[in-house]
Amino acid sequence: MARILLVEDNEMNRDMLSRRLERRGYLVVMALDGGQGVAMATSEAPDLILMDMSLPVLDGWEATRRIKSDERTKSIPIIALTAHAMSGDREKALEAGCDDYDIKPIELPRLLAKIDALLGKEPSR
Amino acid sequence: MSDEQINELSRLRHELRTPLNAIIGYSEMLIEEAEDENLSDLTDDLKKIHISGRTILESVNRILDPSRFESDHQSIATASVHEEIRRSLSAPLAEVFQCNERLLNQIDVAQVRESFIGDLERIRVAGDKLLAFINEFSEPSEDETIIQTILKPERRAEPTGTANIGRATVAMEAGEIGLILVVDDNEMNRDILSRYLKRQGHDVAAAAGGEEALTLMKHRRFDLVLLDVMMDEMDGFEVIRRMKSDPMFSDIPVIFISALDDTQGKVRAFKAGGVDYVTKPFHAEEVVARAENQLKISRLQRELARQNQELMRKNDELMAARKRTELVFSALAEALPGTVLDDKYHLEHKIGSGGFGAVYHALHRGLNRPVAVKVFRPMRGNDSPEGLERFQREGVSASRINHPNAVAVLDCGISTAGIAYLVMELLEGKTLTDELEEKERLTIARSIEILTPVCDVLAEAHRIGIIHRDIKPDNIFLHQAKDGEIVKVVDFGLAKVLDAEKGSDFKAMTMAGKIVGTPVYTAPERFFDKPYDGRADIYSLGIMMYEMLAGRVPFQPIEGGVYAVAVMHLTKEPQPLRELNSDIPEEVETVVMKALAKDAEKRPTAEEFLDMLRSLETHLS
Repeated sequence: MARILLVEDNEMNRDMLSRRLERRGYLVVMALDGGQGVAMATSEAPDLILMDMSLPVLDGWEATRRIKSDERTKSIPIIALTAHAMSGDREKALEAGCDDYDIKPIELPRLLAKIDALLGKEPSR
Repeated sequence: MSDEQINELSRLRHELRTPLNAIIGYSEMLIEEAEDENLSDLTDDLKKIHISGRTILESVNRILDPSRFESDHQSIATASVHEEIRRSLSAPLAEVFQCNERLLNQIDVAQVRESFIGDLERIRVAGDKLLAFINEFSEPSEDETIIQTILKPERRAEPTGTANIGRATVAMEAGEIGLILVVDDNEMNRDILSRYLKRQGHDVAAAAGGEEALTLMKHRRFDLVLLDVMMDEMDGFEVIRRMKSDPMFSDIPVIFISALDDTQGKVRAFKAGGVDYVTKPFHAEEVVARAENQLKISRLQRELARQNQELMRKNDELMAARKRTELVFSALAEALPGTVLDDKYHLEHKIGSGGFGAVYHALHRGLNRPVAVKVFRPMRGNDSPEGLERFQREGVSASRINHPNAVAVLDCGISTAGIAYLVMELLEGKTLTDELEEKERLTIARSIEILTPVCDVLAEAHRIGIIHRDIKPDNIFLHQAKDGEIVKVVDFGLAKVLDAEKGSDFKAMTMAGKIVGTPVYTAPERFFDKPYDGRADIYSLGIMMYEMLAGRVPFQPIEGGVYAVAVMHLTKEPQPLRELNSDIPEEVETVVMKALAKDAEKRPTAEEFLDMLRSLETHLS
């Protein structure tokens, strides 16, 4: 069962996304800020990270850079989640080391396709 | 674009993002849950919420697109952007509120998981946030409160917690305060009316034209519409025409307001479906008074509908119970012939059965005389000691009528085996039902010949305080005596015997369920828990007379059974007799219609009706 680390400070978004992923059989662990996200990337060894980019303490950009520069965690695929399609966000995310990028509000089928692609799975619903 | 503007844009988008995420995300999630858990009746509203959320998001993206401001050299703070946001968000946000409210009221707490309601509450809170944002963002203006009322449905008294959900609908029905839509293209008129109505505590929304009014109606359920007739873009008649052709709006009452005060205009307004008409220049006070009057009428109608629904539900329950009793009784009825009641009456064979039980040809053993014995099916009125005692008392009272046209009651009692029975003179012949079945309709002379003695008996019975309560062709016996036909009214006061509960006769009838059948002959006043008098019998007589002359009863039991017929008795005028049978003189029709007056006060007494029948007889012969 794939394990996903969801780094998201907004309680509501965390609640929704985690519940919807769990319904689809993923195991979801959660971090509330960038710092915690970096720590849990190591301790939880998730199969994939969903990273909100506007996080307190340590923002998603910086958290991504740290995870990607750590030998133990750099192979974990990260999907950046940003609030809106500001031009340049995508490039910025990829530059920071993210493997993919999606915008909020989440369109679940689209996000699932990206998750499955990165996990090398057959697409689920 | 200045940095300041970029920051402002970003702030606005940020403010909108969280609540929008909640609306879109939770609704989508709930759609999935509802589909997985086979709650498909909830998905429609959830999908509407989801689509509305998406619509709002698209609008926000479009309106606050940074590139747009670069090219337009437009300042974000301009009134037109405010207005644009307000205009594009209002309708979909109203939809979100409305669907959400409906879902909260509709869902069965026991059926859904607890989080379901919590999630709907989250959607509601998110909607509140968006609304607060729009209000804060807009310039304070006169019509701000109007926007507020357009958008927000009435808050339930206690909005949170699962336990309150069932109660919510009841609380909302109370009071005469309503949500009123004022439609007028004149701003001043709109303003005056809105203010007046608001001061009285009503929720008011206003529309400057027909299209806008119809759009608002799609988003909120209005209790009343005040509609201007002369409007440029779409006139009031077109608005009401569209309303009446859409089942969603067709029952919203409309009061017309118009400068035209000619009779033709008014007639046209009423024909179009308006419930009232006010001419301009109007006194706001008068309009408000008329509006409140209509709200009251609507509320009473809703109450009546609800009570009827409740009655129908109870009826279904009772029918099921009756079915079981009926099975037992029919077995008993078949087993009775050959048995002897109280050592006196030897039951020989069944000669009839009806709502109350079965009738047997029997022999009085002591007198060696044939009699008819009616054996009662067990009912809530006669299956308890008090019920049986009451039965005996009423049986005695029924036998008090000493009249050649009332069937003679010879004895009544409860057998040692607990069977309630009534002994009557044995009649030979047929009932009026049989005669009506043989002939399509009866002549006026034959009808009067039968009804006059019936009315004569009723006059006597009413005089000593006995109401028959079940006048119908089954209970009119055309007895063939040695020297000719004698009309005999049977089952006097028996409906009362069986109606042990102090309630409306409706209950008694529904108790008997399918057996007694639909209340085809029942007077309107008997559908209420109120006392009535002998004129209820006259109404039944009127129905019977109508049936004899027209070949059918005025209110046929159709789909909907008891309830549908009851409503017709209460509200519908019978089709004029002369349309069904052109041979009938007007004066005959008039007499029948008098008996069929919905208001008992306007109906003749048995004595008066007897006179009418007699004078018809003299006149026509």
